[in-house]
Amino acid sequence: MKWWTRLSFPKKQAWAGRLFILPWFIGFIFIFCKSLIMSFIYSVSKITIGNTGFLTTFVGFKNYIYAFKSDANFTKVLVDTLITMLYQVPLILIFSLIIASILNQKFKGRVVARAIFFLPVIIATGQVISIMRGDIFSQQLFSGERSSSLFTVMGIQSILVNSGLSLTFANSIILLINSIFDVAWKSGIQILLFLAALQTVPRSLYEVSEIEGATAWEAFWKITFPMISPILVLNLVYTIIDNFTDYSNKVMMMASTLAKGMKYEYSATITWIYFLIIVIVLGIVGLTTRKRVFYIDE
Amino acid sequence: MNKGGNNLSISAKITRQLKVNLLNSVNHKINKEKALKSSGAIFWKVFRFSILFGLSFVLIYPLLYSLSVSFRPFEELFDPSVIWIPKHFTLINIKDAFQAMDYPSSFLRTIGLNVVSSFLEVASCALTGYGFARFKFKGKNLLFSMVLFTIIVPSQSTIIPMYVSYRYFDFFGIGKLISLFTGTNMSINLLDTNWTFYIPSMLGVGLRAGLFIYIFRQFFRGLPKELEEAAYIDGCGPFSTFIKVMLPNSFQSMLTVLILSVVWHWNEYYLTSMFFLNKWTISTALTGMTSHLNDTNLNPYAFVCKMQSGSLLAILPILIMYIVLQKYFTESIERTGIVG
Repeated sequence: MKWWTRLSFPKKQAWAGRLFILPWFIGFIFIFCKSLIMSFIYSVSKITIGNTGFLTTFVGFKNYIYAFKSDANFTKVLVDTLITMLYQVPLILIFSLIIASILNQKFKGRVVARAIFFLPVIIATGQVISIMRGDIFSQQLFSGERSSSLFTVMGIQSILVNSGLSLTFANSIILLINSIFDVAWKSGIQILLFLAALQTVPRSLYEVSEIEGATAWEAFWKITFPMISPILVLNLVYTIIDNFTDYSNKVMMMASTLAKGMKYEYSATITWIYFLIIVIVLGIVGLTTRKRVFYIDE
Repeated sequence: MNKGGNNLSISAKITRQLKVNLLNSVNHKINKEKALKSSGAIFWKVFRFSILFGLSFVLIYPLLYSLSVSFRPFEELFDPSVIWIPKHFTLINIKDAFQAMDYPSSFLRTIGLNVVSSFLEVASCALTGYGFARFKFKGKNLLFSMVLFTIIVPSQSTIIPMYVSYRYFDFFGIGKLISLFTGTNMSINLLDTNWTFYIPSMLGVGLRAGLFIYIFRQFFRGLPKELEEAAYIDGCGPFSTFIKVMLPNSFQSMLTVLILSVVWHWNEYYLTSMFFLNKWTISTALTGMTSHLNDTNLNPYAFVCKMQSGSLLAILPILIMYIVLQKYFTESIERTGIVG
């Protein structure tokens, strides 16, 4: 213990800090990094199951080439997932911002309304919601009978087409209606984060702007929006990640089915391709939003 | 005199009249604005109510549907005269689902798994978050970006190697080292045991641990520095400061993370279905019961009713917890300083 007492205070603090993060560091290296690297090794190998674990023999990037060149199913699912994300992420952000602004006001029954809108945080992460929504059954048994009782989508489509809209436009409106359900169910955490952000905006700013004669619309764009922009970015990133890593995501489903069918190499390949795409997308988001975020203490 | 007085009174009258007129017009204007404002406010209230009500319906609908279907005999599933309240009330669906899910033992297993790993996760993430929030050391920023990195990697990417390492668990290489000398195989099989969840939770890489570390770091950064300085002057070391000063002050954020962790562990399906091959937790029991029910050659409508009862049973404990802790849940997350 002698060397410890000889250390200067900052050095002691540095060692204490390292000690605090030590458990995480061990886990990070020995569980997380090891698994990530192993999974990459699996994706470029052929696996035989041995006595003390998997035995791998290097085969090169055969699986990656197969995924893009020969597996038509994979590329289709991948493109589908990316397109769904492209329209769902902005919808989720706009929706949750609107709901958060409403829930931030004072009115009767606010507690109940909040409890209901945070319900997805509790349920939506599990298997339960997909069963409750009848997704599984509507595909297998009644071919959409359930959802049509909720929103009579087919009726709306025929109305839209009859009123002179093109079929593609009508379909995109239908898509929008259908996504309201999805979006409402995927916005739990985002609403929570926005609500927390809205409460940090000082009231005095709004009072000043009202005296100066600003409308609520102007106040939103000139005060609220810049003030919550850091959380907007956080939410954007969270939504993208959540959409990417969600278990009901088609690519992820494909990966887990493959893993359960003992096709470990190909499953690892798919998740690695997918993971690289996430990194690229988040990199683009990070670069484009970096300069535009407003931080009050800078 | 009289004339002058008259003049004066006339001018006074005129000014008074003018004042009244002015006041009236101002009042009128204010009233008009008030009326406009209040009609706008009423319109807004109606609009707000209809939006909230409609969306609440969308969010509650699946729960109500499930509740309604669970208690009706399957013949009434597509009876157009039955919308919400079944004609014949029955408990057979619930009972069958209860048995098919092996509910008591799955429930107890899930609770055990859940509570222990959530507490471990809170402990390890609080330590790590505190380390990142309050101490300066080389490479801290790099390491923290690694924490963020763990958030973006989907668990599907790491699950197969994790499966292998639990199947042939060698204590992070120590077992391998020993077996080099002794020649015996030291690895043990951890699959189907709760250790598959305890170990990563203990080491801060459990379920969504990156997010929790981030929350704790933000929270501890928001606490006043004077708290620790006072403790240091009084002779506390860094660790006892953490235990005696910081922990009592972070009860709220601990509770938030604990609740989130419990909920996410409860709902976790993917990892449990990989690591628990012969045992069920609630979430795997729900899909596991499908095969049970398929064995008995059920009518598809009855199958639907029983699955809905099953999901109701699966969600019920967590729903009760949510209702009881609702206040903590919604209020505390706002104040943990995730945003700070």
